[in-house]
Amino acid sequence: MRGRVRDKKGKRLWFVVHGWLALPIWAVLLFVFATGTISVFSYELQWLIDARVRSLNPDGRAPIGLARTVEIVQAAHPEAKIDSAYDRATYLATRVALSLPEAPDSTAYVNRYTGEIQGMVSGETFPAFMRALHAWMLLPWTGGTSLGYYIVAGLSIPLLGSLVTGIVVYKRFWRAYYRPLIRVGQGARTLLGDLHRTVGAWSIWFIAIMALSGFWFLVQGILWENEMVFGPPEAFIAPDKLPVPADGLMPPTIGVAQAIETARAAKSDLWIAYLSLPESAFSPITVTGRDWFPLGSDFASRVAVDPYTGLVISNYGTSGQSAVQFIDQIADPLHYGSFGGLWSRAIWFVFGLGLCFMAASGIIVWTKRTAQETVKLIGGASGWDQAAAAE
Amino acid sequence: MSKRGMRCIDARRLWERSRFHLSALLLLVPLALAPAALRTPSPELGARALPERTVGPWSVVVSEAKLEAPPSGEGATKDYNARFCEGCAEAIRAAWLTAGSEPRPGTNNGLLHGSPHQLEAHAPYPARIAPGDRLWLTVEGWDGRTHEVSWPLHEAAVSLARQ
Repeated sequence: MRGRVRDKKGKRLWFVVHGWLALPIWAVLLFVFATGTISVFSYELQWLIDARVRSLNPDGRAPIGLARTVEIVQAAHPEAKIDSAYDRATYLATRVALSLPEAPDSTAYVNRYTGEIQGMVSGETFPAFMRALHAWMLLPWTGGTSLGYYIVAGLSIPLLGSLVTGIVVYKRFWRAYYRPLIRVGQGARTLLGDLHRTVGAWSIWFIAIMALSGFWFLVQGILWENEMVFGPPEAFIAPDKLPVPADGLMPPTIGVAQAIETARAAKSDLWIAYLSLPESAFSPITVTGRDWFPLGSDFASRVAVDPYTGLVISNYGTSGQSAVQFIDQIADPLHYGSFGGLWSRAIWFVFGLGLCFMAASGIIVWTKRTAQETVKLIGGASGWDQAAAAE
Repeated sequence: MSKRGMRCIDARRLWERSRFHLSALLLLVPLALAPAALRTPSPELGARALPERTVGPWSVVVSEAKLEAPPSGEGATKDYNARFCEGCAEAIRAAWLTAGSEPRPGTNNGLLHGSPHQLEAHAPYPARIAPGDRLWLTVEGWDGRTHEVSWPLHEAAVSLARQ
């Protein structure tokens, strides 16, 4: 008898802790969950709304490739400085980041099959905006850190706590997998509570991934603040290795096509997604993409090519990464579900909506309940407790 | 219960009910920052131009990226933009902006990079600004020659301008 009473009080404590971890911050949590869910499909949402970012291929042509894309844009805008080209998906137009005298920080959308420049925009694109809104609440980056980044990544701690306490409280949560209890018709509070438990049980794996990858982002922020470098090795050309042109003018550089050929030869399993052009006389042309590892992102693997000699400066990929580099590589694709393409994004989107529901149903159910629970736990019965309990 | 007692209960109950919604106030921050994030970037070079200078055979306009005071402390940098004369970029190999008692360009230290229409640099500033400090521009041509020019700090940062 005594044991059971103690059990009940113990469970009630976990229950109250479960609430207190998330409720005081429910609005911020919901904001982060919602913006994250939208971010998963930000490029696809843009595809639905803006025809310029699509790569329609009515004639069934083969893709023209990044080299030809860059060529086309440079020919159309000879005064432009092209920074990069991103070929993200078969249905999306290649995004060429460039700078024009009258429009810095611009993006050109080029159809990856026809080579048509379908549009040019200046400023932040929708996916970039959603990423900034979700990952650092638009708070600015100064000196390598952003307060917003710490706030959002820091939410991984109460999220992990909510997950663990939620599992402890929901004994035999696996019943939700084959016999979920969803009582309709007994009032909104009961239904929402049942759905909160069911969706929670089904989302355990997803919430764990969000909390752990989010916690890595927090660690990453702290490492950045302390200027610890762990990503791909910085590749630049030493000043004494630069060519000395006879005429005192900029020496010729290899074209993008040659850089891509060289990268392919250096790394046969490279699936090229992104190309970056030199931003100074010392920086290489980098060819970036996926390699053999299925959980990588579009930026997992990188070959840096000397633009003057055409030789490979560095070749970075999944094989040969340190543990920290490996975690750094998989954190983003696991967080946003970008590792598999549309199918993995769709799963992440659905479970992202589920997380939003968890936050919303949590606050609604708890508000109706917690007054009573806190009273029972503390065991007090002053006038205001009784009034609150009567809610 | 007295009237005052009832008022206390109402106030307390209002607090009990709505305190969890306080966190929504934090969301005002991204809301306030959204218009700036969505704005089309201006073609103007930075926020405020420094006096134009001739450096070697070229001329250059340098400007503060933002009207911010230079930071203090170790590893502090302030952002600048720059643009060289039309067609001059071809002859220029690299350029650096650094602040201090003397120029100290290093490979990545204050290197001007990016688009020739709007070069940018994170110019390192000394941990504590001394009276003789200046903002130094070091330019290297592809012909191997180096040229230097500088501005007094009260010209290089509007916050340091003499009254």
